[in-house]
Amino acid sequence: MGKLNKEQRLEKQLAKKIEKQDVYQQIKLQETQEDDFNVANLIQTLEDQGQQIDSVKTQYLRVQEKARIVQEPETQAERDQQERKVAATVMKQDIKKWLPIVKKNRESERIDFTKQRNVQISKISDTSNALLNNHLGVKLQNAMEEVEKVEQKQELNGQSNQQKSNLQFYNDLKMKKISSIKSKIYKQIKKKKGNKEKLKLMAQLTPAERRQEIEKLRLSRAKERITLRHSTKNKFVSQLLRFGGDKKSLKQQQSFLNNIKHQLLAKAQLNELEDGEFDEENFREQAISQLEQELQDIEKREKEKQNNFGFLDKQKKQDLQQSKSIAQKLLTMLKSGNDDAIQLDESDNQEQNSDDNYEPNVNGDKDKSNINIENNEFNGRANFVNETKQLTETQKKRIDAKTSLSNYLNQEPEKLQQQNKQEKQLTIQDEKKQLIEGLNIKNIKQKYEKQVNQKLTNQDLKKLQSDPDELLQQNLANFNLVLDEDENENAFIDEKIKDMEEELPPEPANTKGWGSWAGFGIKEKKPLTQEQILQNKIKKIREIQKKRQDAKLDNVIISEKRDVKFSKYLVPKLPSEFTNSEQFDQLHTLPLGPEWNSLTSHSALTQPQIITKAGVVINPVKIPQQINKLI
Amino acid sequence: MAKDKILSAKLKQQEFKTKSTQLKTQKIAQLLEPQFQQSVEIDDERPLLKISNFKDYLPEENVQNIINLKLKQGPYKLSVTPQTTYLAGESGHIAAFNWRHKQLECEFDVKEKCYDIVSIAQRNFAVAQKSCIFIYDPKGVEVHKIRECKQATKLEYLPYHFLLAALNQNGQLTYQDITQGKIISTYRTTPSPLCLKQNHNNAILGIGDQMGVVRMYAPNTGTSLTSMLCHKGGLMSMTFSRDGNHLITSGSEGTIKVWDLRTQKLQSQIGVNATNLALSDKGVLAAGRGTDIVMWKNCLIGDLKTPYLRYKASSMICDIDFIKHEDYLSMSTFDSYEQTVVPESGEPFFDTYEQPDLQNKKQRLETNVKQLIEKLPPESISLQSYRIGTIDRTSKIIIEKEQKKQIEEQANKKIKKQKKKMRGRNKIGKREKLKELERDQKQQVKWQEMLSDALRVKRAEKEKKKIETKLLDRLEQMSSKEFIRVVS
Repeated sequence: MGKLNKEQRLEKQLAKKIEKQDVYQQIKLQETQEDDFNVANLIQTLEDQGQQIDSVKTQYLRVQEKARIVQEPETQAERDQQERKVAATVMKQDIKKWLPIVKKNRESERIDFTKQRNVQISKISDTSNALLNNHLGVKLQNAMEEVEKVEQKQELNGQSNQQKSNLQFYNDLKMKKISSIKSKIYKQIKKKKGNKEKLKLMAQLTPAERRQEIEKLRLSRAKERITLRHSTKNKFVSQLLRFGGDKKSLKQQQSFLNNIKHQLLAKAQLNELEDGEFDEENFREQAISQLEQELQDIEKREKEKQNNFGFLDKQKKQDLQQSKSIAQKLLTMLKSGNDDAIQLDESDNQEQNSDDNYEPNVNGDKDKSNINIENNEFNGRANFVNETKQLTETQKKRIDAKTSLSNYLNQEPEKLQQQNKQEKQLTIQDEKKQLIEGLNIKNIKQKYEKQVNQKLTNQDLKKLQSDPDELLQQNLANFNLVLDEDENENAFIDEKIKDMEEELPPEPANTKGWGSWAGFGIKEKKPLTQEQILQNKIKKIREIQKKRQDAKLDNVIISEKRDVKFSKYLVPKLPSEFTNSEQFDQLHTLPLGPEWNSLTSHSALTQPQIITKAGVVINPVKIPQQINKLI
Repeated sequence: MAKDKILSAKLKQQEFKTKSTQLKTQKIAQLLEPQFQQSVEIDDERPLLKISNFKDYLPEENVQNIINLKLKQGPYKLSVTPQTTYLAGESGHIAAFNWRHKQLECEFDVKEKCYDIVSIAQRNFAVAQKSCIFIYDPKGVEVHKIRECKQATKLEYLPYHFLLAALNQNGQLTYQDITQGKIISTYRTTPSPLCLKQNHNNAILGIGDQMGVVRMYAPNTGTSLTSMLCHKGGLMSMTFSRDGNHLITSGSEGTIKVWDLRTQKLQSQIGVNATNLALSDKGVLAAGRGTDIVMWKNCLIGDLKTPYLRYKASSMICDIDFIKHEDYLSMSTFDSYEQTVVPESGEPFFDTYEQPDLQNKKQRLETNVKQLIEKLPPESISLQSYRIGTIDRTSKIIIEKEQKKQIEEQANKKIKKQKKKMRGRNKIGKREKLKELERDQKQQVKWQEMLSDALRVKRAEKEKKKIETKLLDRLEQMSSKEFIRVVS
């Protein structure tokens, strides 16, 4: 065969290399001959004399080659190669540390991560000798010892845990097999067994505990029924949502509550009489203080501003006078010290409390509310109604903050108002002009904010800083006053910006490493921050905004999407005869139909170029005389 | 100038024609204009319309058409044509009567909640009920049931395109062609719509929003063509002028605004709270709030300060509309239908495409056919409909892209010719297989015959032996005497 072996090939390549080297040496020597005085010339002279200096020659050539490499400037590729070699050596030194660990892990059947902790501990223990003098070092050592103890325990438990896990695994397998059984008889038998066990357990319990468990079961069943899909319209659920259970159970609860009420009242009366703990003096003092507070409140309410509605004010006055007279009477009675008067007070107070919730409830009333919450855990809608009532109270507070702010603003010094009057007259005229031009949203918004901010930054506000809650409420109320009107405008502006963003060209995805050189020593480019990206986006949007039709109109969005379906009614290209599109459009300016023109003009417009009446004889074509002569 | 001489001459001729025709039309318009318009002057101090004051001056026909009908079933919606009025109560009472001749056409109860009513082509009318939209005959017979647009609350009819537009409570708008019964387009508009009105000039629909925004829609595109923030509160109602150049809106914060749609800017405004608006063809604006109606005469020019007339209805107003080509205002309230005179409100001139009132039955049928032939396609609805037939001014690159797309779509739509398949009967492999089968079958037959012959021989031999053995057994059992007898 013509093919050569590997050894033969190698020999050939080596021979070629040697030839090349010889040629190279000859060329080098020829070049050096030109110089007058050189090391090569000296060697040649020695050679001519017949001395054997091959070893010297070879050494000289090596030195010369090395010198040549040093003198020549390196290319980029060579430089990179050398740098990579250096990097490789650096990395090898790092990897050498880990080589034995890797070897162990590869050879071992199982990797133990527990041993790695020991490595860390050994490191700290090496340094711990120096740290032992400090408190920290002692603490660390103690902590590490505890950790070791725990680990030892775990190792001991590990054997037992393995057994447990094995058992659990077999148990799971068993349960899987059991669950795959589909026979109904088996399930029925299973259910009966479970029920019997439960009954046994129930029999052992006390009646109070038994009742609790029954209630738990009932609750779980009720929750299941509600979560079922079509059961929300069920009779059971509808009653549960309305009354917090069945109708019967509700009646039972009410009767139960009534019984408790009577019992409590009876007990309270008995306790007062028997124990003698009821201090008349304390009660009298409390009652007097409460009544005095009430009188103060009534006076405050009288000073408040009256509504414009007359009939409401009359009713209010009458109520206040009645309550005032009753309170004054009670005060005189209490101060005189009649026991009969006190019993009357309670009854009167209860009636008043029902109307106005100024005083705290009596003890009996408090107990009622507690019982309601305890017994009716699953009350459904009844609880929800209570929550809404609480919300309304919070809303009232908010409204109070608004009114207080408005009152405060009205109490400004009169000097400022006089100055503002002149300014206001000017501003109103300006506003009218703007309104006629269109809705200038931004200017109006700025005015609102300015007016509000000026009043809030007054020094008088510092007095109110004693109670920060009031300030917060006032600020919030003020905030809402501005925001409620601007919601629509802000939403509209957002919509407009979104419409402009759709016109932006899609940005290329900035994946790391793509479109840049890689390797050792190359500096990474910093990615753009989110602020820079936003600023770039805003610049682009502003450029688009200038080109749009609705650039000067704040309250209008005109979509610039092309209607493709409508384009079939337009002429796609200008015909070659015309120079402008206006010339072409000029032909279509005049409508020809009789609906838009008079009959005479319609007939003139639609007149054909050649008119021939019906019945006229059309002669055949004749050759004209000019041509006939030629023929 | 144009390149060709012929074309330049043609253009010059065209210019001459346009000028001459314009002069003629102007002259005719001057002749047709009423020289002396009847005008009713009323003091600004107490501009209240009382019928007793007018009765002496009005002709008898007008006095007869002042109507006040008492009805019972719920708040009413109405739609009025020059001949008939259609009423739909919320509890399901639907009625249609000829107000000119005081003649009832039909009346029935659907026992279902009704949201809106609108009159459509050929004297039919559509009702938006709770289940779906129904279309009824002039005699009250149910003709169609449109199941596609469910829970529609607002209806509008585009007469020249034969389209019924229905708006859902969630803002879903559907265009349906009445002639074919085909749905042209459906899309979502706004989440909280309040009113729907059409621009009679453009056939573009405007939808008022709870955010105070008016959006214009056409069946071609799902997105809004223009959207304009008009009010700070919700947009209660709106109307377009007959030219299509003006829009009048009323907001819940208590203002009426007049907008110029050519510049998209505010023209004039007034602080009046109005729940219903109606604009006549000559520019009389009626605003209803509560039981009162206030009217302004030249609102499009900008005279909104001095009201023209005032009218007080018997109960809360639900819907208002002017009657076309007549000086009447019709309104539906919670429990009545009323109709009053408003002088100088109706436009006397007919649009030539419109169906005039005084027609025979024969003429009406002819016009119906003519209108169907001249039906406008729904794709021609756009803000730039005046540019039909002109040159497309968009860049060439976009047009070329679209054309390429169209060609690709057409190529994809084409049904490819299926290859003539032999279903594998005439393949070489199968042919040979068949031959093998035939060969095998022949061989099988041969083998079976051979086998059957061999078997027959064997069976015959077996039977012979059996018979022989039987005979031999019998012979053995026989006595010697009998044996001798048989043999002999």
